[in-house]
Amino acid sequence: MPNLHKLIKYLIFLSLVILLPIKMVGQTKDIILDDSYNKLSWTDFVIKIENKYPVQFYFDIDSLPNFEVVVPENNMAFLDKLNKILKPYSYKAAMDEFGHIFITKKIKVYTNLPDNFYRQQTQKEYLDNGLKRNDTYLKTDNIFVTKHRTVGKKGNDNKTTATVSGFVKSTTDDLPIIGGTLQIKETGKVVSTDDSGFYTISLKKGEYTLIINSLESKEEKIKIKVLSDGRLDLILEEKLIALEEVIVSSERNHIVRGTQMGYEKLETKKIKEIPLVLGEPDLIKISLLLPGVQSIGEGSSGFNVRGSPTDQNLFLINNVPVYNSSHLFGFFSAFNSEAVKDFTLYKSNIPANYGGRLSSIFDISAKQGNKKEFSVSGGISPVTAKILVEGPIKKNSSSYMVGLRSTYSDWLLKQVEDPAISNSDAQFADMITNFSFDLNKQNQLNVFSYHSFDKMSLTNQNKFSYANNGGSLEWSHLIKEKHNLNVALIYSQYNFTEENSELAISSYKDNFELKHSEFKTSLTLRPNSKHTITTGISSSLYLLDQGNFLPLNDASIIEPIDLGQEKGLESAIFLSDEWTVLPRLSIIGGVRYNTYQYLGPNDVKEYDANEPKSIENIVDTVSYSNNQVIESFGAPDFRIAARYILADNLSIKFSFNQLKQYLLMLTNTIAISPTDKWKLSDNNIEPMSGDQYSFGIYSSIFNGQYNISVETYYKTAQNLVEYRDGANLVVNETPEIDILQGDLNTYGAEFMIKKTYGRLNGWLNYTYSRSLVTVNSEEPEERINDGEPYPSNYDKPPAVNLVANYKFSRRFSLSSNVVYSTGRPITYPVGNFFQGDLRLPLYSKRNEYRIPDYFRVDFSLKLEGTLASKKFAHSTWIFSVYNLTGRKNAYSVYFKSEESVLQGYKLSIFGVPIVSLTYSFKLGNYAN
Amino acid sequence: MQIKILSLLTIMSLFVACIEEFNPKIDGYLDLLVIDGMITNEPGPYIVRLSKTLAVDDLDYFPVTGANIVIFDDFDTEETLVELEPGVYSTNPLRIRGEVGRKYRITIDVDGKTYQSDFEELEEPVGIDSIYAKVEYKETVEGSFEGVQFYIDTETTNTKQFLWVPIETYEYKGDLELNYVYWSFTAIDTITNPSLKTCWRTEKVIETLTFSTKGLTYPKIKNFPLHYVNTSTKKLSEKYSVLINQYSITEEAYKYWNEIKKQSAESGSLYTTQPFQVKGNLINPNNPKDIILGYFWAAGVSKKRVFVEKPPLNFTYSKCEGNVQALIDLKGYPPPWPVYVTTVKVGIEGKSLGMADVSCFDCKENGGTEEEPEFWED
Repeated sequence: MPNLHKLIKYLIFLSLVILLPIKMVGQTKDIILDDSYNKLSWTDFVIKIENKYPVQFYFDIDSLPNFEVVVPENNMAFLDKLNKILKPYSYKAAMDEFGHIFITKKIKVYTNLPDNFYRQQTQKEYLDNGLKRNDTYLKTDNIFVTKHRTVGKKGNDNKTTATVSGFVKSTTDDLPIIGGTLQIKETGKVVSTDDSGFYTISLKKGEYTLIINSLESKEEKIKIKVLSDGRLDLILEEKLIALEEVIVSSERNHIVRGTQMGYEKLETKKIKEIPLVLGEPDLIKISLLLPGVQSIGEGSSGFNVRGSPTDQNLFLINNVPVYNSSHLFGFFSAFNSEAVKDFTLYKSNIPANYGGRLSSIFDISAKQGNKKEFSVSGGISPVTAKILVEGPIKKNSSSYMVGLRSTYSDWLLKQVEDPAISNSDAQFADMITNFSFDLNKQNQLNVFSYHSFDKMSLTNQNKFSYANNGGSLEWSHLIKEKHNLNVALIYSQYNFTEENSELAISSYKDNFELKHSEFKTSLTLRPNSKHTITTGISSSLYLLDQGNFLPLNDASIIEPIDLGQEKGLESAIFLSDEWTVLPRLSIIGGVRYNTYQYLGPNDVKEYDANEPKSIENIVDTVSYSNNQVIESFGAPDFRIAARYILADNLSIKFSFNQLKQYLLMLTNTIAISPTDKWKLSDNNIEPMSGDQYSFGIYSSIFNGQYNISVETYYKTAQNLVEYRDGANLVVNETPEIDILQGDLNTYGAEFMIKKTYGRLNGWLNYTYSRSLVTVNSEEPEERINDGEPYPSNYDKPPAVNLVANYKFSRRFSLSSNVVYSTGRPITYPVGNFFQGDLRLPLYSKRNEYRIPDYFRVDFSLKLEGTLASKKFAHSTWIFSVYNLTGRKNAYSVYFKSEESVLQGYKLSIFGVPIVSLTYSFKLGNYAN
Repeated sequence: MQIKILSLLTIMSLFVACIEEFNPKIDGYLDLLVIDGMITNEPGPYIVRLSKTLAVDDLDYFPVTGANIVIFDDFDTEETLVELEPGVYSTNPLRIRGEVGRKYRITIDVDGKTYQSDFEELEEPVGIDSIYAKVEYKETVEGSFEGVQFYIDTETTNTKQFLWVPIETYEYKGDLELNYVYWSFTAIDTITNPSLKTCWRTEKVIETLTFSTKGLTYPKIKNFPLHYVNTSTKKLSEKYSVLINQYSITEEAYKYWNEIKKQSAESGSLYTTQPFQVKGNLINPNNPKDIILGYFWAAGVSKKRVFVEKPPLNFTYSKCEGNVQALIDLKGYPPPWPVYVTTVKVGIEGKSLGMADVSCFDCKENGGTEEEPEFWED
């Protein structure tokens, strides 16, 4: 083993040489603290020494006061002088052979590490990435446990066990630490914190070592003495290592220990290096690099999660549903990453408190304002400028956050050769506000709003504008320090208008509006440490205006058409229990009962049930009065998930999931367009329902440095909405005639390996999945593809994503994405024929062919401003190249008859490398 | 607190949506029968063409011979068609004549299989109010063009669906005056009365133009854009004429043609639908899976011809003047005879001889004829 130690030390040495451009001095006596250092502030003092000598200071920025340095006048060695300077503040200094100076409180650091140090805990990276200006590693070994806490009072009761509960929060922003784990070292028992950072654990009375781990904070070990039931709130320091940390989370052991599967959590501050088109950091678009998430093509809006259509995803931002989640034709998501804290994607077992969409939930959390101090951050990229302002309303108890983003120019579109695009213009903007109030220890209130706006015109013949507006008011109440009650009032509105003047005689305008009002309450009960019971109700009222089709101007002679209004009420009651059956086995059992009513006032058509739906087969039009129930559906969803731990770092999970969907998007274009309308299920359109079975194996190795998972699934959806060939959905008074409902069958396996920390981190995933649609009926005209299964537009069997981030130094990092996917299915001509002197294509069966495979490499460099702790503002530059190889990836392939030849064409959206430079800033230092 | 955003360097390259020719390898091939035929209220003969589909890259035409084709009307009057040339079947011009308001269907017996269509009603023709041209500039992916856009106004109508087929005829000239023809180095014909040759060429505009008045407050079409003629060809270089054939068609025929138009027009856009095979109106009643492509349609026809004089635009078609080679080059490299020679001006007074391709002299080489059409207005 000694040889190994030598090797590791050698590697550390090497990496430090690369890391620090140092003139290697190493001898402490070489550092001379003369009079010029006297009377400097501590930070200036540190910076001055670091600038002059090849040393680096490590200390806890929050606890060490910025005192005035008084340099001793005698001839002491540097380290002795330093210790003398620090002595009045009870700090000590130590220095190792590489010039690392550790400043710690009370305990002296031994720069000759204990013999078993490396073996026990750390890797070589640990030194370079974790340590700067914090003292984490001191706490990672038992020798250095410093904190003792006592819970409860002695002799309070006769019980032998006690329940300890409390909140885990972060010191820096006072926000709850969600999904943190608390482990009792002696028993191995683990509990995790919930959405409000709350945990509860039952123990025999006695003394324990509690190890607290979470994604956001340093690992903390404290000694606790449990005397009786009681509360133990924990405040954890945030890790100062965001640069190179885990990019996709699910905190360290969560992948193995959590019962959740098909779950990904992405945090804004962890994704900033990932190169993206036009330099716009876009948290939601990053999800396309995750296994099982695809889109139709580059720059198209919407996501296809596990082979499902885009309208089967629910986008929630602080509980507000967003019905159009993209900006600028879909090149960007409608969520300003600056104002978003994180988002969680559920694609497998969806918790019982969610419903309404079959495929996935994109649950986005907005940032909460800083409760301690005022802060401003912002940035500018080739397309947008943005700013975020936050601060306390009342210090430590309430805060505000306002994030704004807007395009400042559409110069970009003018550069495109295609006149259809260069003669277009586009603008977008969005705003997120979030106000939070801690009313007292038990009550919290949150007021949130979301607005987004888009305006586009294509060759001045087609104008669109659309907007999302929504807000939520949430109250959370803590009962008996362990149960939680959440009540939320939610409103969301989506509308668009379209003006089309392609043909003067029939130029038109059209509009659409959807209003969603929701009441949602949930109660989380923790009767004991084995059960977490969540129950609640929710009810959403949908009001849809399908719009008025009107002549645009006097030249147009189209007949106005009122496409009518719709009303629907969707309600659910849910109950779920997360039950730790055995230390190794946990189960989540849930049931959600959904009801849905399609309500009047409305005039609805009834069709002859024995005939295909057509205008001729309308047998009656029935009028319903306000709130009269036209059609009603009700069904339970059962949701079961189980996790079994096979070994410390290996588990298997299984889940079964059911969902219902009462809202669909009317779209028959391959990529969803800004003029696609939503539609409620009604007396002629059945609600969709879906079942999913998943099974997976999860492992976390090398101290959680690598997470490896394999997840397989089989999913079916009934009453999937497809459309008759040639359906026109723009002005359609009877969309049910053009809708054909079928079945969707998808299955796949997702392999993921993730390196969660270290100088090199990122992930690699491989997905093999299929997505097949069957639309069959007794009536030949109600079949698609003769009733045989065909691949959906987003069936992309093998797909590979590599995301890698390499940190050269704290200020400089390099990232790259490599993306491969099978080309999407397409219908190609398999012959040609003449008709009226035109050579026309003879098309294959639906989606029988595929466009060429997709391949892309991106690259980005990030340069952080100086890491000085006291400075006015911190800035970051990101230089990125999207599609480095300039590959002309096909967006679509199509054929045109030209001069009696059938000519094929390939359309690429980003056929050249896209270079961009993004600047961002924030007040304060790097860590803020 | 004031924040100053640094002035910024931004992007260095552009984002370019690009379209390029691309012919994927397609190994599939469907061998199907295709019918192409119609009956109108104009005097016959009416022609029905029967062919087979070809592979995607096969630019041939595969006629189907030996079929027995019969047109029926709704009074069960039969008319059997005669095969004039391979795959081209014709009615007897002296017999059947389409009538407005009557319905027609077709049956085809070929290779022991029978196909038949539904009845198609011959809709009433609608008068053309006017056809007019406007000078317009267009920007497309291929470049910017100058040219003339044709529009149509119809009379008020009861019929709701239209298909227009423009047939254009244009006058054009050879580029160069022919002065000598060299049959060899010694045998030289001198053209005594040299002049630029004039031709007329007639072509069908290959564009599907459809419109339906369904959904309009009153059924009168105004300012409907027909085809566009740009100055990158010789079409507008002398005089241009177009005969608009306006077909009043049934709703089913409109659906067929409009879908063909939509698939062709929308296929390159961001928001395109998945293409599909448009179904015709013939089936094999004994085997619904035996598909026959194409449409047999009935239509009421109106026609109108307009003339357009050479517009004052910038013509961009390539001219022969730049391709004249000095005759002296002949010595070293004898070309295939004959060589066509013109006189080229040199300086103010000087002249020299130059040779060029025959198509620079003889407009017939570009598909036209020297016979002036009967309808031509001078």
